[in-house]
Amino acid sequence: MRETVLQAQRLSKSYGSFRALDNVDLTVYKGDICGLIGRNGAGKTTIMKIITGLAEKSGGEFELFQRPGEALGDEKRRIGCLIENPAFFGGLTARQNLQYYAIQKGIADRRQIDRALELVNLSDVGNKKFRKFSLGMKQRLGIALALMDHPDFVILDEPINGLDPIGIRELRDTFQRLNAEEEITFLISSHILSELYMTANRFLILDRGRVLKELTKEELDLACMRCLAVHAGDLKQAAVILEQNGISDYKVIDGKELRVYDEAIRPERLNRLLMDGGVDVSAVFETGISLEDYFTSLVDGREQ
Amino acid sequence: MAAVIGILAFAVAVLLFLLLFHRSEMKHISRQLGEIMDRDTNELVHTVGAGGADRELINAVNDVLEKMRREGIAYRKKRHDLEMMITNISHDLRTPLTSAMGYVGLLREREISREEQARELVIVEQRLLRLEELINSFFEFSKSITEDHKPEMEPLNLTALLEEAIAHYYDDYCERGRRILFEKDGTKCMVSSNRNMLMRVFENLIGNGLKHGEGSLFVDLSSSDGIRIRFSNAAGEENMDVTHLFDEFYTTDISRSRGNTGLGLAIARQFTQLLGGRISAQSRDGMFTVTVELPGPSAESR
Amino acid sequence: MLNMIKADFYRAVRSKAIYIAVILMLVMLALDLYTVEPGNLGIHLSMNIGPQTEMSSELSQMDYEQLSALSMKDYRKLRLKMTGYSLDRDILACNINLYYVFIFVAAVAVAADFSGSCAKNTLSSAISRKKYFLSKFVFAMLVCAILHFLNTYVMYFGNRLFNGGNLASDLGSVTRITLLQLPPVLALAGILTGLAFLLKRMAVFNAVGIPFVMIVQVILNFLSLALKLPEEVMHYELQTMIARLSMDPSLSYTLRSYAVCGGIVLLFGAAGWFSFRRAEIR
Repeated sequence: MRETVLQAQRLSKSYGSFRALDNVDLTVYKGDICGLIGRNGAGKTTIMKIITGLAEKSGGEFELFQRPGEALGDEKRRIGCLIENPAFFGGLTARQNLQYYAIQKGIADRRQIDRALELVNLSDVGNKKFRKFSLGMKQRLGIALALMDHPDFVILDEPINGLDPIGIRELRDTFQRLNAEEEITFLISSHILSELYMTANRFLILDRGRVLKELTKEELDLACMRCLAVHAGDLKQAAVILEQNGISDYKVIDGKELRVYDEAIRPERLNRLLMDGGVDVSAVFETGISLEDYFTSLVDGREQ
Repeated sequence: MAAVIGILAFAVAVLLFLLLFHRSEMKHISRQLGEIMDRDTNELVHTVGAGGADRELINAVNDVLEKMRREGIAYRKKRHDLEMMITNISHDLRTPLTSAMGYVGLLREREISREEQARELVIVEQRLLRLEELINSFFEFSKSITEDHKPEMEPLNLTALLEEAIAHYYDDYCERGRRILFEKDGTKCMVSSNRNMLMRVFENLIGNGLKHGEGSLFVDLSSSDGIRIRFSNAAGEENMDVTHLFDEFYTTDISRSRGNTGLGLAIARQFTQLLGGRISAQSRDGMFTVTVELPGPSAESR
Repeated sequence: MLNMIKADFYRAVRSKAIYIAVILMLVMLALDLYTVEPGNLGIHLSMNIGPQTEMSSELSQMDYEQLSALSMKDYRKLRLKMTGYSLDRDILACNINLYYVFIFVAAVAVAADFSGSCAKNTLSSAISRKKYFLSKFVFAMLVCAILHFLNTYVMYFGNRLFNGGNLASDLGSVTRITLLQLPPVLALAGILTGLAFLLKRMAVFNAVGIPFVMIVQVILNFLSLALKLPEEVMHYELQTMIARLSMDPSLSYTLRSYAVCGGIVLLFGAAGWFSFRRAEIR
């Protein structure tokens, strides 16, 4: 059994008569980058607030680091998080803000502040006060704080808000690198599916407080059926050629289209193989339903 | 008088407080270390609020912890890679073996003509030769990584050596409609090195170009600014991760399906380094280039 | 907990609020020293708070018309000529004014954390709610105590410097008074911190905090009249306590007023804690 960092069962939260969370089950294994997908108001932030102790649950239970309930005392330091908007002191600079929290947490080595700023590309904002930061810079500082104290578990609420595409990619690379090199587990929420798809390896789809689906990236790929579609004259011959070349992961659809699911095959090579083998290929293209369509179908399915 | 006593008392109180505080910090450190050791965590030791020497101790301890963790992670990664490789190796060895066994079975059971028998025996031989080649590869590689002593060096004509290596593969290239083009600046380039190892490096690189590249292979020897040999060809696969190319456990899916364990390049690197040289790879604009740099004849062999 | 307090000091020193507080304090002192008379920002309670030190002065012989005709400078000159008057002790008696300085402290330490949502950073990954709460309390009390002592000694030496020695007492008795007044000062800090945890938002906290003591005084006054309570009860109201403790109080009074202070701290502490304990941090 893989070690779990977070395990929540039947988690519920109500604000008066409004049910923000309704019996949510959620498991995050050590080493995962877990993506929480949902529209605004689906309950992503609420889950995060509950597990970090900022809000109280109305029902259910959860375990952090295999201990029940909110992280106690020193264990809290193992978590780094950015929840809702990044909040810092307007009159202080980036470094001073992080310094404040570094002192609070008892971080003995001030170089950790520099390291955190480097990770998010904020090393050279110098003496600019926080209140003068752009949205993207504020966001980065929030992420820097979450990453600063060598956490084991990092919880990020829509971290790419306000960042430009290059910044988003750099951040994605940083997260994946930290995940691989320091075995940090991530829980990231977003409503931008395409970005989360490239970052995470497990997904939890949330809508109006309920879990619609929990799946791994492989399962998501299968569900979205990303594949290479081939339109050709003689599909049988095409199949034989594929077999001869060691490609067995394919299906013939409706006698008209052949779909290759093997991710390593590139369309150019497939085309060449088939042409060399004497098959007239009329089209080779990548296809499958988009993430957005898949997500929409899940949500609509529930609404029906 | 009272004032003096008051101030003294105050000073004593302060000193006592500092002492107790220091003790508390020390105990806190031990406790934290105990907890950190118990868990699999990235946490470092934190301070309760002291400064100065206590802090220095904490930083020193944390440095040790970080080093430990880095090594642990590197170890786990290497072990994972090793497990992957062992799986690959056993799969690779089994393939020609199973195939040969299949044919042997056929030969035994069926009534077949002598010509067919001969044909199938040739196939069996081919498979076994392939098996032998693979086993030799692994053996050679394991030897190269365990060997510590310096290779024997002798003065060699690099140009002639390269031409010999190219000649070995010339026919193979021509069969596929491809060529090898050799550019050199001068007819003779002397170097102090080991013949067998250098030959192996060149053959591995040229063979690699054959298996994974497309189109013609360009070999370029220049000795003006240090001895540099470049092997370039059109890349057969996009997005090659050049940082891991020489990693002994790296193989792309494509190369593995054609029966290559990726050791060829790893051996090339190992040998080049043992000979005191450097090897690097670039992938740019669809061209894949491996560059071998060797120390000149005047350079001391390390 | 010590880390929290260190961090809050780090922040306070870099914020404008604390400096405004200190400047406010110095301005009040300057006014007091110049007019040779303690000012009072609060309600001037009409009751007799005890005998003043024996004073003789030309001023006491003037009638109202003459007094209002005096310019500030002349008024000051006349007051400087008083005998038997300890200006510093008189100023110390009005230390309730420090309440308005302490508001800044609680604002910076607690309300700012909540208003700017910064509390969530700390509570989610550094410290438990209990420790957070206690640290803020200790910090606020510590800073208020420091300001209290600062107030006394700046005033004392300022008085000796600018007003000459005859209106000053000795250092020992001034120190003694300052120490005696410490518990009510801490009680003020406790009230403000408790209020800050209760109200959380900066704007609300300011709106309620600033007139708070005055409102309580009015209510107590009203209650004591309406319920015909003995005059003694009013002696344990904060402004009165601070004043009386500066005038050689009896041991029993001292102990009882300290008990009241403790009760106040517990009351407001509990109010702040129970409202904070399970609240959602925004």
